[in-house]
Amino acid sequence: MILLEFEAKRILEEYGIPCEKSVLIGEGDADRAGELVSSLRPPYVVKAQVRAWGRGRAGLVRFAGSVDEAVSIARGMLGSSFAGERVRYVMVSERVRPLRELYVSMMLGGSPPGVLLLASEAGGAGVEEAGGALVLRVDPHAGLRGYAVRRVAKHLGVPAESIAPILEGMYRALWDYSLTLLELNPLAETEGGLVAVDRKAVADEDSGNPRLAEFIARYEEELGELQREARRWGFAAVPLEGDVAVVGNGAGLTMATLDAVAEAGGRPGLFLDLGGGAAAERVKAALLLALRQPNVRRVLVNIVGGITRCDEVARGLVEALREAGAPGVRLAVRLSGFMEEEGRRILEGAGIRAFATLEEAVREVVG
Amino acid sequence: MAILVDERTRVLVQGITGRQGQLHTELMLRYGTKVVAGVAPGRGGSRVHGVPVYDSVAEAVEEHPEVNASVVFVPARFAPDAVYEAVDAGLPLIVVITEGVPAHETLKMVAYARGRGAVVVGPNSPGVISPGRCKVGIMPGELFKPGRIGVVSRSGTLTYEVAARLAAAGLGVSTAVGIGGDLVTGLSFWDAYQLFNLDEETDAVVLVGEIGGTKEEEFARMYARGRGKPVVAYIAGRTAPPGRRMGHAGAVAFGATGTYESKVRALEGAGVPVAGGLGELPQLVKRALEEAG
Repeated sequence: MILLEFEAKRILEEYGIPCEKSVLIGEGDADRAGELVSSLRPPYVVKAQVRAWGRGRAGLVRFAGSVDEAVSIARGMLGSSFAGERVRYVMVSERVRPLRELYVSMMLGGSPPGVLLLASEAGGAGVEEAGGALVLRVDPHAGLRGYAVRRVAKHLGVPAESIAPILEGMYRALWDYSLTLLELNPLAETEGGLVAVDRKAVADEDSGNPRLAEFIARYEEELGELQREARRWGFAAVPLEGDVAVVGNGAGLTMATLDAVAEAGGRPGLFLDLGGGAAAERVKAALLLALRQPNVRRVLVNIVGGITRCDEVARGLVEALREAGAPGVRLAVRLSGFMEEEGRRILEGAGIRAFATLEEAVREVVG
Repeated sequence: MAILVDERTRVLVQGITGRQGQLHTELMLRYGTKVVAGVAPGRGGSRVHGVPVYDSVAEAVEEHPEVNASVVFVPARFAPDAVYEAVDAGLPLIVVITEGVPAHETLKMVAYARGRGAVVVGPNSPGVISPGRCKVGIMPGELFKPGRIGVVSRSGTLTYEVAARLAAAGLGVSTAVGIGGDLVTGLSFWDAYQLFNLDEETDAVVLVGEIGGTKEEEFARMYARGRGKPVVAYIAGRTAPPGRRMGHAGAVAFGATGTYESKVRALEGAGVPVAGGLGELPQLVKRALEEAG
């Protein structure tokens, strides 16, 4: 789960990492926006709070010289949409004048796996292209040691005593909040010291960490009917723009099916991974959910049965179609593995096209 | 030979009395895998499909010193404990099928296991299979034909799809390893490749990756430095939108990290051909075999 920037800022502040002064304006705060912003010193930075990357290039980070200007920009951003997300909060910050923009991040990864600590002198929007970052792997049992802090300080050209509390705070936050990524970009070098003026954090949803409860609750409020229903059944669902719903058993297989549809000239409209153990009841729920999406006109079901019984899958699909009536949707099913012939016989008996290979099923649904 | 598992593998099933543990114990036995013992705390003394059950790994290993691999079906909350227990009992190979283990817990248990010379495969792995000889995991054995291609993958059902396509093209598999769909996992692509490189029964390797994380990029960096047997890759998720978790906990691209383009660029830059679609994969493998002579 990607955290909103203001959530990441709260975590950083809890660990004593210097951040700029800011206020948060929610959709219900439009009347108080002027009052809130007046508590800050101009000039301002107005930032839409969205989970997706790339808001800067989309004009969702803007500067303002006066309270009125900041409020008017904030009102314009609230309720607008970016990459399928509605802007529910806007952060207005005091603008910090950096002498230099640095980059520091920590993330889980590497081989052998550890905490990867990245530092670059070239912070800001271009950091990913700039290269030349220092990459250190921190072993989880050794922890963040002094030598690593000194190497980062030297690489960034800052005193070790100024970067040490920031790195130590980030490292503790990463573990305490089950973060898989915590990024300060830019970390501004100012006359008053280092200030983390923008930040990104990703938390591990599987962690069961009670400290994430507030963030998870806010995230779940944002979910539409599709994702709420998917969560209930243990499916992974991602809404897309096109008209072909892709339903598969297993994440990699469903992604590969999505790619095959796009390669054949189709436009995927839904990603739905059933996960393991696709019994008739779950398959039925998945197809009904796909058919309820207003953009979906075609459905491709791709099942590679191992333990999953293809006849069970077929029964679930037939039941779903019986319940949904004849929705005028083009449906193609690929069944492979345990009991596949029986499964295809059941489908064909109900007038559903069933195939043995992915290519044939894709051709049927896209063509 | 093959890698990791073969006819000499003697398997311990942790969580053998659960629904998944029971089912897959039966399926592994039917495949011919030598499952010699199971563990379920509080259920010692019982049997599952004829396999004796013990309360702890230590007791199981004392009775069955020939055990040299464990497969973990324990629920996510208790899975790290099961891995530490297997490491402490001296088992050299631990295959973790469980999905949903917290990433930070995995980080610590993998580091612990490495420090003691144990290999952890997974979590969220379909297991390891050396076709016709041994399977330690949940994959449908009949889709894997014996042969000389090594397969290493982050996925489950997509691995079965790839194996079936290889089989249809007359290419069999020496060993297929599912390294797991989580962001943090034990055995890496490179670790598996190094084993395949030393295996006399493997001629080429198919790497099945997907968007998210940097595992494919890390493999490419290592391969560029010290390549051996040819590798052909397929990466799932070309059309996945950024910032969305595509089923697997590890399958999400943020900014420029973990994107399809980043992985393909890294692999091709290291000399690894990447199939544009699944259908192309068997041809690329055949071409790589011909070029390697």
